[in-house]
Amino acid sequence: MHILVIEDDREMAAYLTKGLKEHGYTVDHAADGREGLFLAATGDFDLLIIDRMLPHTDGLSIVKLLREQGIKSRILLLSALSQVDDRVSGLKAGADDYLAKPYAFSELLARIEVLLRRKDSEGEQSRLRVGNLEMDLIARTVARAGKPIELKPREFRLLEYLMRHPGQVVTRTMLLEGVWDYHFDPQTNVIDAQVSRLRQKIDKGFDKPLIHTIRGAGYSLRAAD
Amino acid sequence: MTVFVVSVVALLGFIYYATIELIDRETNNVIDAETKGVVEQYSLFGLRGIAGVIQHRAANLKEPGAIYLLANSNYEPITGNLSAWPADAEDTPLGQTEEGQWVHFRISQGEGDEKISRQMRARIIGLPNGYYALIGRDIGERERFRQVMQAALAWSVVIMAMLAFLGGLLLSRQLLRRVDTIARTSRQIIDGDLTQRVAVRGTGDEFDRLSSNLNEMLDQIERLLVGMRAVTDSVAHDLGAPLTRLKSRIEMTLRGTPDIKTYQATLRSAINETDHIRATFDSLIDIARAEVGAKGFEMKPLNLTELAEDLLELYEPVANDRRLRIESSLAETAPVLANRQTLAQALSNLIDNAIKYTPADGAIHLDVTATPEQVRFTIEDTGPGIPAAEREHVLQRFVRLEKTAETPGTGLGLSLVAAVAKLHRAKLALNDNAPGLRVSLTFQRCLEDE
Repeated sequence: MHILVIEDDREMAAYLTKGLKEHGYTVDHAADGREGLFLAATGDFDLLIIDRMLPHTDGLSIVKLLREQGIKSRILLLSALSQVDDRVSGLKAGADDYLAKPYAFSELLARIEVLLRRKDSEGEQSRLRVGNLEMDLIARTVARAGKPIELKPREFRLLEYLMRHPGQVVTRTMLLEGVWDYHFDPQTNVIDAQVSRLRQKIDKGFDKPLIHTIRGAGYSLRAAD
Repeated sequence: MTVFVVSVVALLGFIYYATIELIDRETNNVIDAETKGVVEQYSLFGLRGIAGVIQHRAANLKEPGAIYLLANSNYEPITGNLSAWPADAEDTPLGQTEEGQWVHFRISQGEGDEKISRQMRARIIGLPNGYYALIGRDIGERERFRQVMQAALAWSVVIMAMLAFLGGLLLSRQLLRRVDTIARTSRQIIDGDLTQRVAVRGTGDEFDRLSSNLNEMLDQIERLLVGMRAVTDSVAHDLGAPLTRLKSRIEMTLRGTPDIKTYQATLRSAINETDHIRATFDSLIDIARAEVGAKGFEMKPLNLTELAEDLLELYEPVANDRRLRIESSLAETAPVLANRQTLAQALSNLIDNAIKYTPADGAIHLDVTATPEQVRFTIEDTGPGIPAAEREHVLQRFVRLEKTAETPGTGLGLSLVAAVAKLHRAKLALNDNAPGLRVSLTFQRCLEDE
């Protein structure tokens, strides 16, 4: 997987490049907007990580220009502006995700994973399956090993989110955004309590748990082999 | 002003001519009618008839100033109340027509000092046998009236022009004085005295409205400035302290003996400290943005009950883990105009606080009530509450309660709630729940019902 980092802060860029390489990605770096746009326009990259504030051409314009040229690379915008409307303007311009600075590296990594594995045909499935856990998106039912599980609507959406990203790390922020559509940080860790309740319903009475806690990052739903 | 004077002159001129014209027409009609009568007499009874009627009329004047005269072809009077044919009218070219001819002339009457000159208007008819009949009226009255009227009109034009000039002068001086007042006040403000306000007279006129708008604008600017100052103060206080702490911890570690374990511990605590700084920083920015006002916040009608249910559901597991009961009674529809994210953040702060401060096995009460005018969100906890003296204080921007070691968070939660309440024009009230705290937010009900 080939990633381009467009970031003018040298130290930030070095940190990103090093971290991503350690996780097996091929990484290129551009230090300003013009160079970044030039490289990205080749379309050779699977993912672009673009800082919003850049010299010469700002991040938002790069995203717009690339989308106008039909470049389909996934785009993750980084920004010191964390407000919801900044986020909305980023996504409207054509970015796939938006992350406020400073971020935990684990958060960035989780989002990259999700973006790179996202399929264009997503959402057309009517059934999701992870191990012996099955979800019927039309009948809105869940069963594990053939045994039906009763879920409240919100628990269903939480589980759906996890099942749409099997084997990937899903952070608390991603859940709060994706399931609840809240873009602020509730001070108490409400997500942990929500996941542990879901875990009670999904994993209780089974030898092999499906919901795993990833320390310092979030959660992951995967079938143990 | 010129326009005003010209139109006054035009109007008065019109009145003048209309009046004069009316009087002239009146005189002419009377003379015409009499002439007609005389001509009829002639056609019926000939010269004798006409002489009779003129003699009769001259002897019994119906109105003063009427003149009648019958003269032969040499203008020698035969009968009538004029002693001689008026000299002015002698050479008037006269045809032998019944149509006659209009003449103006002056005659003198009386003797010596009492001799007066009268101005007449008359009609002369040539009769077939060379005789002339003259029938007329004294138009001196009309002349005098015309002169009086002319003088009156001329004076009124002069007086009006003067009044218009004086009025305009006074009015513009008054206006300029008021503009001057505003200019002077704004000068003082530009020079740095933001407490100055433009004087409002209370008359409710355009200047008053302008002045009170300016004053409101100044109030808003002052609020923003004070807010800015508060932000800088808070940034200095809330961020300065942890940064200093962070720096001194790192310096102390470096000064000590190099030891990988100590280094790791310091770095880990440094990360925690920066996370905390970031959280504080975010809160400060959120509060400042909500404080500054509605720009950039999309306000949409939403049902407060649905939002409350949503948040209750989000917090329910946490509350359960802490063995807290959350009781709620929610109105079915509670429409408010709101920015969903900021309102959700504020309400989640309130729920979060209630959960944090209520001891285990305690209860939290959450109500949403709606009347046709208002929508109210109330949350009651059974925690330690806030001392009455501090409650008012807490509602001011950026004020934080003294943080206790065991309660996490930036301590800015209520400040954010206050700022968000202001953004939504909602009234925030803190009351004693004996024991505990009751916080209520009262919104205007949104009229676009669902």
